[in-house]
Amino acid sequence: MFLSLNRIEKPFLEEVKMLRVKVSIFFCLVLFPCLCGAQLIIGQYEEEAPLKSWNISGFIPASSLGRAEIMTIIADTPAIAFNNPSLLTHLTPFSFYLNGSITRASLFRFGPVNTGVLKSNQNIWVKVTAFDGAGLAFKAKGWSFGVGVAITEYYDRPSVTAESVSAGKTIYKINFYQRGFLRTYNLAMARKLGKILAFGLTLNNSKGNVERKTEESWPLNRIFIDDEKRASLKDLYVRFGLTAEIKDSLKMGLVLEPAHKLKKRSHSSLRYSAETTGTLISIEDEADDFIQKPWQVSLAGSYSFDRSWLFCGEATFFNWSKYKLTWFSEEINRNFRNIIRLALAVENRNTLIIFRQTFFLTTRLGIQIDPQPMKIPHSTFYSLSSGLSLGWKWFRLDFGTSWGQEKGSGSSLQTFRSALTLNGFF
Amino acid sequence: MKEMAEKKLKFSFLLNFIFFLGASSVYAFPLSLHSNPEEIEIVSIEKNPISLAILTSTPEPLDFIMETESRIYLVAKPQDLNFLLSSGLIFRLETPFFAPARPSKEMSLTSGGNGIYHSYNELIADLKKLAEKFPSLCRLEDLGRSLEGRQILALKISDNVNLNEPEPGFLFLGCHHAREWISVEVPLYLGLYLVENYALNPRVQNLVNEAQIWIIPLVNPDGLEYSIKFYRYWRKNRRLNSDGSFGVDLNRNYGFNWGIDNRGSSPNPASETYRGMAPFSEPETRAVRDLFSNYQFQALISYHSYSQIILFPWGFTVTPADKYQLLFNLAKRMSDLMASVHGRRYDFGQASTMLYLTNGDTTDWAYGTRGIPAFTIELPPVDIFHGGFFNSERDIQPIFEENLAAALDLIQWGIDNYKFAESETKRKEKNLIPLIIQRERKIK
Repeated sequence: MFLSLNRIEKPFLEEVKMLRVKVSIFFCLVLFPCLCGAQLIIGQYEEEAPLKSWNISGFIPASSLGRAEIMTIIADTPAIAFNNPSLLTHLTPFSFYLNGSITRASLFRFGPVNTGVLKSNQNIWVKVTAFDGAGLAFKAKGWSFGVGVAITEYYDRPSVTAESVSAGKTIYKINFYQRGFLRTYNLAMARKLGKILAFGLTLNNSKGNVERKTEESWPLNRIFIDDEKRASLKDLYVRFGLTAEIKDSLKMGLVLEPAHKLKKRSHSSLRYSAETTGTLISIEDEADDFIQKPWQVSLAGSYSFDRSWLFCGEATFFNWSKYKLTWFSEEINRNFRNIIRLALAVENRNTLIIFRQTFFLTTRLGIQIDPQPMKIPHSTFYSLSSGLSLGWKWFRLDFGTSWGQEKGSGSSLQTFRSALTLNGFF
Repeated sequence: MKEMAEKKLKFSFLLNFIFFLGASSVYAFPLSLHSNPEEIEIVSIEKNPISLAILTSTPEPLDFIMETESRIYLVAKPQDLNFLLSSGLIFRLETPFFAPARPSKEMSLTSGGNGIYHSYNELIADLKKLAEKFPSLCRLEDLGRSLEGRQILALKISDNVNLNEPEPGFLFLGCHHAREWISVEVPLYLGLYLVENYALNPRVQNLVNEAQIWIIPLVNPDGLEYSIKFYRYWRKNRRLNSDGSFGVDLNRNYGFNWGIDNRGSSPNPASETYRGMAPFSEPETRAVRDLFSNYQFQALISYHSYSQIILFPWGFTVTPADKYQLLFNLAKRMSDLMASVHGRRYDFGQASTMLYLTNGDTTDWAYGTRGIPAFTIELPPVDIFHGGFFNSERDIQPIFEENLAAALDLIQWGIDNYKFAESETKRKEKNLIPLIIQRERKIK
């Protein structure tokens, strides 16, 4: 009969670039029986969960990353068109940005890992490196416009390989991977309403895909099984932004993103083949699915003093209790709760004279409390972020990084993100 | 005078012929036989020298299917039927046992991610639809919830379905093991067939009228969903064990000789045959147990895959069961019937000797606690090289058809056995009364 995966024992390898990890399997003897009813709860990384956090608010370039991801109140890059389009009115007549980032996250439970098939005694990391944002903004006839493209969500998971080896021969092998992203094209416009207020609207057109595959093989018997689930994604949604410049030193910002449906065209392909008998069995399925993204509202404020210090804070509410999705036409229940994400940051701006050139140096520090929507487990990421910007004439290079530590799930998940943005202001 | 006599003779001959025809038809086949004169029928005839002589003397050779338990089965075209009628042979219509059942057109197969196989939601929807459409013939009973809160539903099929009549019960179970997707389809199709053909087929009507048929197509809904969504080869339920592994093998969790040794099941939670912390520790097996304890059952079939084999108790020991011969005969009969449909031969035998030792499984428990014939039918294919736990979608129908023949035959056997047992009980009671009277007289 079938070889039990649970009997495979592997040596544990360090993380490598493509995260090909041999998962260590061990048997834990049951010393204290527990007839507990708690069952499989994936928690953080369900199949559709974006990497790093469920709570996505547009696109986060380097300057915002260093500022605890606060994007609703500071107009320092055209990328704010994704988040609070009304801030476009505060930019120079023409500006552009180019952004690249590295995102790393640790996962414990996902796919077949730690859900019964493959067991790992440590969290497993995944890394995504991408040139993930570009755009520009300009002003014309009293209006401000922005266009951009950015990867707003990643769905990658660590690639995992496990083998059963006997007498130097591979008896059984399993390989799992998941990859995916959502790329958003953005068109924004904004206008000042009097001296204090500015209003903006952004239209986001998202397209992407996600692919998940489990490949199993019994090489000696020449039997192969491929289980592939993939989906193409698309979405169209708007975001409204409002900024109030109460005083030179005091600003408030409000952003609303109504609920919207991310549409999925799902495809499943299950293939079995046995070369010795020529057996080939294929089971396929297709469906139109959706993910009902929650509405979210952000309120932010900033206060600057002494021309060199800036304090800002942001609170974002996500209406996760209304989250719905279907998987091959069947409604899936995610037991989610509403959450409020909080962020606080401070910036310090200075000028430097180097080789008789004036440089503008900004340093940033921020903290973020990012509760995740799952009711079980009650999980929150606590993040610390920092950033640095160096400006010279019309250009500014931003660097930002954040480190997040999760509490509540018992898995102590972590996230890292570093980003570099080149901005130009004319 | 002479003309009158001739007329009388013709008339009496005609009367006798009609009487003979009527008598044959009452026993042999329903009056609706000729409603579809162009269709073939499958009939069985008692094997004896007279019937053999007649059958071999036909103008054209008859299409023989098989011979079992002293009956000959053959495919009869309309002209063959006429021949049989004119020959005076008494034959029995067996077509219902071989009639293919197409999937109901109204099945709720939206998607589910697993082709035309039923996911949990699809199965629940179809069962509910069936019960709503045929409320006088079938009803659903909620046996409880799985570990992850999914319903475990049983479909009861009988006339007077809301009454617990003194009739023999039959239990058909599917999908103890999550990856055995075909084992959901076969019992489900059986339920659909019985209900949808009740009004059309007198034989089915008779079986349903005289029995209480219970079908639980999906004993392990959590495991099935995990098999569809995460890992195709998942076997167990979704119990989170204390060592971080998942799953109890539901077919090792039943309470008869549970855990008697570590060969027929495993104490290791990570094992594929982990038996659980205690007998009936799992809500899924308790659901079956509780249903079983509330009704009188004559026989049970638990569908699994793969191997293409019919197994009967014992699984926990190589020692034959005390009703070994009965179990053997029933298994052989089912195997013969299955082979007659598409030519696919299912092996049969005692579970411990045909496959491997098992303890805590469904059939040992049913036989061990109630003494009823209980079979594990491992559906095709025959081995891992021909698909293993994979069945092509186009194989669902043929596999069901051959198992339909076996299931209906087992129900008929159970009904006959129940009636015989009843009449024996009544006869014994009758014999007891004169003895009691005699004793009383003696005492006096």
